[in-house]
Amino acid sequence: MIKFLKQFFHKCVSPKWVHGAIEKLLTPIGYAALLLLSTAFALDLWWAPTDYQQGDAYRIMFVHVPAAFMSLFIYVTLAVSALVYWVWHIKLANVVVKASAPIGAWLTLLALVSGALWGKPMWGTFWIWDARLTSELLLLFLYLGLIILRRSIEDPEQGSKVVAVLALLGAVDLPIIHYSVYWWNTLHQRSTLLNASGPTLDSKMLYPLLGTLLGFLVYYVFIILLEIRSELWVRRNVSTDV
Amino acid sequence: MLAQMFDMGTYGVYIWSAYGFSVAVLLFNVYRVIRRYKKVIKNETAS
Repeated sequence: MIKFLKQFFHKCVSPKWVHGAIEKLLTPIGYAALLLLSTAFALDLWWAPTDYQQGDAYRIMFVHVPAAFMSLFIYVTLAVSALVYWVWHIKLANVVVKASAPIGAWLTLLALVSGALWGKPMWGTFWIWDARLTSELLLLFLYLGLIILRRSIEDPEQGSKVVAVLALLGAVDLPIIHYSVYWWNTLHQRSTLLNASGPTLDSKMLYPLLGTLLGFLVYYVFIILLEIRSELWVRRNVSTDV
Repeated sequence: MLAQMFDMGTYGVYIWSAYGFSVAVLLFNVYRVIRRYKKVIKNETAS
């Protein structure tokens, strides 16, 4: 297993190998994301039963929870890639950092907007400055900060290093977001999926939720592969030693 | 029945706005990265 991982990471250092792999994977992954998301959305809207307390409004959960999960997952991926780039100077890791920031920002915004649309009918307000919402908003600012910082530094090498440092520092927000509902008195409910005693959702709601989550995950992989492909072409233009 | 589907028990505005925004975000990001790739290829062939 370790030998396989070593060989895999060795290959990832070769842009030519990575480009070839991406060209093969892009189409099936794109179709998989489309199929998963369209099926999942259909199940979310019409198959999952109506909730006895929240009525149909709870169906926003099927978009809000995956988006929020992905906002954290993408940042973890970004931070780990930043660390790999900073320590081992693997250029592909920097490409992943660069590619993850915009999609991470968009999904964080989606989590906030869908949360606001769920909050209005349930809590009577679109927004409240509670710990979970505020820390998630901070995450959006972190993503935007990474994008703006990279663009504002002229030297790409220097910019990448500074962005890597900011990405690692910003990772502090992740446990705050996750544990905010336990550490403080918040309006936002506690976790229903990542519970010590297991998910507290009925299976007819759980399976569409997991399906949508999987769809978002595959979608992210698709977007990242597209971005890496573009970036490899750009670097071919910029430098001959890519 | 169609009206019932769109109404979603009076929460229709919120639900369809959330799903509409989600689809818009997902599609926009695919458009964004594909547009960038086409621009890069165009620059590559021009040079």
